[in-house]
Amino acid sequence: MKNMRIERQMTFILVVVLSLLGTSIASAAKAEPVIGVPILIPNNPVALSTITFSVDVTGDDITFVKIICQECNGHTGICHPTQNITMTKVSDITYEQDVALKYSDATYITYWVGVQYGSIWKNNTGVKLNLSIHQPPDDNQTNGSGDNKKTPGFELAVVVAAIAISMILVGRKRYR
Amino acid sequence: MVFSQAFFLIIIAVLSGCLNSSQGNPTVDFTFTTLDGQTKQLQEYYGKVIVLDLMGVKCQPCTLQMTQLKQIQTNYSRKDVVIISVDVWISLGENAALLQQYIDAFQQQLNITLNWTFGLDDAKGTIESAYARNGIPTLYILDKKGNIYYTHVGYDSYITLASKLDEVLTKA
Repeated sequence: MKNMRIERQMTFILVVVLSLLGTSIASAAKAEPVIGVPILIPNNPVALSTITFSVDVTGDDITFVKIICQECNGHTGICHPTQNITMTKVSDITYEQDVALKYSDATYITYWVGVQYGSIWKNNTGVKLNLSIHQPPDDNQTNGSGDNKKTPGFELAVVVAAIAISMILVGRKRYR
Repeated sequence: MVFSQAFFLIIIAVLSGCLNSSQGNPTVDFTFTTLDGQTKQLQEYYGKVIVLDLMGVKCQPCTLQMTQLKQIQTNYSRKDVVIISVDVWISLGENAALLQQYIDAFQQQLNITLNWTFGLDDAKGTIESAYARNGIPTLYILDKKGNIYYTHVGYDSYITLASKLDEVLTKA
């Protein structure tokens, strides 16, 4: 009878030890996230444009993936308030997010991806990317219809024509 | 005539009110954590002129700013001037270990010892949202009473900072 009791107790202890061991092995086997290289579309953005960031992240227990994008001006030495946006999961491992750049004076951006898994935060190294020089589409227009009118356009031609016609008409009247 | 004089007086009163409000003495005060985990109040440093540098490890202009702050540290007496750099990008994943690596890298790679007080914002970005809303580095020079004497967003040269420090030290 006593032997039976001891045997039961031993079995119970064994079960507890094995379950604890299993739990620790399982938690140790959880993979730390691996953050891929973010892809940008377009890959040569300009200030105030919208960039689509896409990144592959593998690993267990991922709570969220964030894209962090800072816009800086290399001339004035300012880094504007950083955007820190949670990315949307679009497939098993791929996360995507549009980021609208906010500052017209930004000359470069630095971006990196951060992953929260469990209570741990991991991020990859920041990448610096110079922004292409912004070329407003209206700059090539010469008809004066754009917002940045610096070149005289058709409006001026109409005014000149009107003055010329008026002068001719007045001249004719006087001649008569 | 009486009406126009009254109107004139009202305008003067309003304008003087505006002037007074702009000449007020806004102060900067917050709690931060030092690299060794102590909680400090900026107020504890009042009594000296404070050069406050709100920065981030991954902010490139902030790195350049360090070289200018180093010159201040070298050229001004520590009895008069104290420099405090606070990392305000904790909400972006920066932490004490990263900040320490940054300081070590200056020492190892550039042979520049950043031997002044370094601290960290909290995870919510309380200091950043209150005092560095327009970007970093944000620099403040506070007089001995903690009043803001000078502020600048973006990289600032040693020459500018030194001239402002000289002014505030003369007035103090």
